[in-house]
Amino acid sequence: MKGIFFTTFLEMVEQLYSANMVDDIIAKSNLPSEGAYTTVGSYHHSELVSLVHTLSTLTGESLNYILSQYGAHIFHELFKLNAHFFKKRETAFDLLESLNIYVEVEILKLYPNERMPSFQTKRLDTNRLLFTYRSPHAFLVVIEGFLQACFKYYNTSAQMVVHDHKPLNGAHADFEIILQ
Amino acid sequence: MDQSDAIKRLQQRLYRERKARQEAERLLEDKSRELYYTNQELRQLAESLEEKVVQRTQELVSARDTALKADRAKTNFLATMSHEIRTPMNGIIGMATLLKGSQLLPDQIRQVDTILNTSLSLLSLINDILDLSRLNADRLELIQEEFDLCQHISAILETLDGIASQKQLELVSIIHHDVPAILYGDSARLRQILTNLIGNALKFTKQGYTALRIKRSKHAQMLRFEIEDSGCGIPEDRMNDLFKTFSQIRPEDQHNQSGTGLGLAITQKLVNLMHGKIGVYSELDKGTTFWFELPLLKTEAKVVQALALKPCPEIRCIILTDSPLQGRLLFEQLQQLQLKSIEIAFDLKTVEKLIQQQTYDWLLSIPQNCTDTQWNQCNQLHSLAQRFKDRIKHLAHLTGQSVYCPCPNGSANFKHYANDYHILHKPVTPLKLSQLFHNEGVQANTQPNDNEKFQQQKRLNILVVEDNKVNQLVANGLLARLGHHVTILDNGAKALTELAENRSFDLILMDVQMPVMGGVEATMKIRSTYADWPIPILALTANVLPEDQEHYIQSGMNACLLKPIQLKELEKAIQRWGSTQSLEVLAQAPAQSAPVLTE
Repeated sequence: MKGIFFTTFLEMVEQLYSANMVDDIIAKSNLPSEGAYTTVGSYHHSELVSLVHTLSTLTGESLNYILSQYGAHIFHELFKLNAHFFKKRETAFDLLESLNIYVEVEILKLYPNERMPSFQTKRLDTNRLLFTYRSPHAFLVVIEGFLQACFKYYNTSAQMVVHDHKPLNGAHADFEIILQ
Repeated sequence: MDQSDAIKRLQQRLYRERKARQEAERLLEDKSRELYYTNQELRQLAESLEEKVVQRTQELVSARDTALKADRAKTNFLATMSHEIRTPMNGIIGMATLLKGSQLLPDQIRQVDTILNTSLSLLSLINDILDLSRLNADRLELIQEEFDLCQHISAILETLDGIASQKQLELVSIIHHDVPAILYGDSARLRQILTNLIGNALKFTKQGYTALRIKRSKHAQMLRFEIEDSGCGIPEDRMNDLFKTFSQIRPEDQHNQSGTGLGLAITQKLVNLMHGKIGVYSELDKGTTFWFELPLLKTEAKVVQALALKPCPEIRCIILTDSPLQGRLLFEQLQQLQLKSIEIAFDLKTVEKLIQQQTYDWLLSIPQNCTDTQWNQCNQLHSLAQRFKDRIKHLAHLTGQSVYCPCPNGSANFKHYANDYHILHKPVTPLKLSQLFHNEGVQANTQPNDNEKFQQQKRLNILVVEDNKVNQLVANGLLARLGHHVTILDNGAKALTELAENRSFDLILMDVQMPVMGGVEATMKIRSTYADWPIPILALTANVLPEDQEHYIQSGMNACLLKPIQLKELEKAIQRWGSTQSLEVLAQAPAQSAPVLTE
C-alpha cells in the first residue's frame, strides 16, 4: 500500500488529536516499518489496519467513525495537492468521473506494476451516477467518507445506495448516487 | 508529561523522520538507476534505429539508382530503336514519294499511296510511343513562347483538311471575338493535342462536321478549346477508359486502322503537363465534344492585348449555300467577327430578294461538286452578280481543293461580273475570313498547285552530306524533284575537302552520324574555318530527342530536318533557309538558335 495513505492518516491523527497521539499509536501498533513512512514508499496495508485499531482503542472512537474521517481527510488532501487538476471539475460528478484517470497516472508513474484501486463511473441520468469501487484492500467505509466530503465540498446534497459485492479478498461495491 | 518524556518523543520522531528520509533516498536511488538503464536502452534503440534508417536509405538510394538506370536504358533503347527504324523508313517513304511522282498506272498509284499511308501511320506510331515514354519518365520539357493563335490554328487545320475533304466533312474553326491574338505557351504541344483530338473526331465521323471552338474559360488565364463532331458518339461504359493507354473506343477499332489507342493517353498527359484540364461529353449516334483548357493567356492584366479577330462592324454579308449545316457553321464563324448583318440564303431567289432591299458588301457562296444542276446554278449566279453589280461589292467562293467552279471558262469569269472576286479555299478559318474582309485576301485569292510551286522555287545548289546509300538516293531524288542541283558526299571530311575548293553552295543538308567525320564535327569546322560565310546548314537526322537537336544547333547548325524526310517538310525548309532573304537574315545574325522544322 502506498506510503501516502499512511502519512495522510498520521497527519489526520495529528490534526484531530495531537502529535503525541501519533507517537502513541505508532509505539503501540508494533509496526515493521516503525512508523517511518514516506509518501513514495510502499508498506503492508496491515500496518494501517493496526494504526486504525490502536487509535480506536486509545480514543474510544468507533472504527467506522475513524475510517470515515480518514476518507474525508484523504479527499481534502488530494484536492489540496492537485488543485490544478481538480479545480477544473465543476460538479461532484465531474470530479468522481475523473478520479480514475488521476489515480492511474499518479500511481503508475512510479509503480508500473502496482495493483491499484479502481473507480468506474456510469451516468445513469443527469441526477444519478453509478460509482463502482474495486480495491485489493477492504476500505469501503473510507470511500463513503471520501464521497461525503466530496458532496460537502461541492455543496451538493446526495443520497447513496451501497451495494457491497463482498468479495473474498479486497473490496468491490457499487454506490448509486442520487442528487437530491 | 515530563521533560525527559518530551525529549524521548522528539528523539523518536527524529528517528522516524531520518529513517523515512533514508528510505526515500534509497527509493530515489533505485528509480534513478532504473531511469539510467532505461535511458541506456533507449539510446541503444535510437542508435540501432538510426543505423537502420541509414541502411534503409542506402537500399532506397540503390533501388532508385537502379530504377533510374533502367529508365535511362529504356529511353536510350527507345531513342536508338526510333533512330534505327527511322533510317530505313526514310528509304521507304522517300522512294515511295519519288515513285508516286513518276508515270504510273491507276492501280499502281493506289498501291504507292497505300505504301505511303501505312508508312506514315507507322511513323506516327513510333512518334507516339517515344512521346509516351518521355511523358511517363517526366522527360518531356515544355517550351514557353509567344505565338499567334490564328496563324497556328490555320496551319493545323490546313494539314488536317486532307482527311476532312476526302471524307467530305466540314472542318471549321470558330474563335470567339474576345480571345487575344497572342498566346503564351508551348505551341508545338498544343498542335499535337489539337491534331490528336481533331484527327480522332474526323476518324469517327462519317458525315457532317468537326468544329474547333476556342473561347475564354471561366477561369482566368485559361483558354478553352472544344472539338465537336457529328460522329458515332462514345458508349457510356467506355468513357472511363478513354484516356488510358491502348484504350480503344470500340473493340473493332484495332482492326480498322483506327490507331493504337495511344493518342488520347498522350493528349491527356500533355494537357496535365501544361497544367490544364481535359474532358469529354458524348451522345451515342449524335456526336462527341472533347474539351480542354490550358493556361495560355498572358498574365499582365494592365497591358491591353490585341484580339485575335479584328471586328468588321460595317460589313453586311449574305451566305449562299444549299447546305443548312454549312450555312450554320459559317454563320457562327462570321458572328464572332461582329458583322453588321449576316443573312443565309438557300437559293438565288432569296439572294435576289435580299439585295433588292439593301446593298451588301459580301456574297459568300459555297458551291457543291460539279454537276449539271450546279453548272446551271453557277451560270445563274454569274448573271445575278452581273445584274446587281452595284448592290454586291464583293463575291467570294468558299471551296475545297477537290471542288472546282463549274462555269465553262473557269471561275476567273466572275471577275467580269462582280467588282471584286475571291476564292477562299477550305478549311475556312477565322483568319482567312478576317483577311478577306480587311482586304488582305491575297493569300486566299489563288493557290498554285504543287507543280507550279516547284517551278516558282529558285534553283539552288545544295550539298548533301550523307553516308547511307539509300538515303543518298532519297535526298537526291526529292531535291531533284523540287528542281535543285544536288552534290552528294559520304562524310564530313569529304565535305570539308570539297568546300576548300568550291563554295558555290546555297545550302548544306548534313547527316549527323557518319564514318570518318560526323555532321557535328564537320559543322563546327565549317563554322570556324569560314566564319564570314553564312551558309545555312540543316541537320538531317533520325535523332528525335530535343536535347540532341539542341546539341546540333549549338554546334552551328541552323535547324534540324527529321528523317524520314517528307517532301513538303523538305520544301518548307528549303524555302525558309535557301532563299536569298534567309541568307541576308543569316548574315546579320549567324548561327542563332533556330526552331526545329519538323515535329
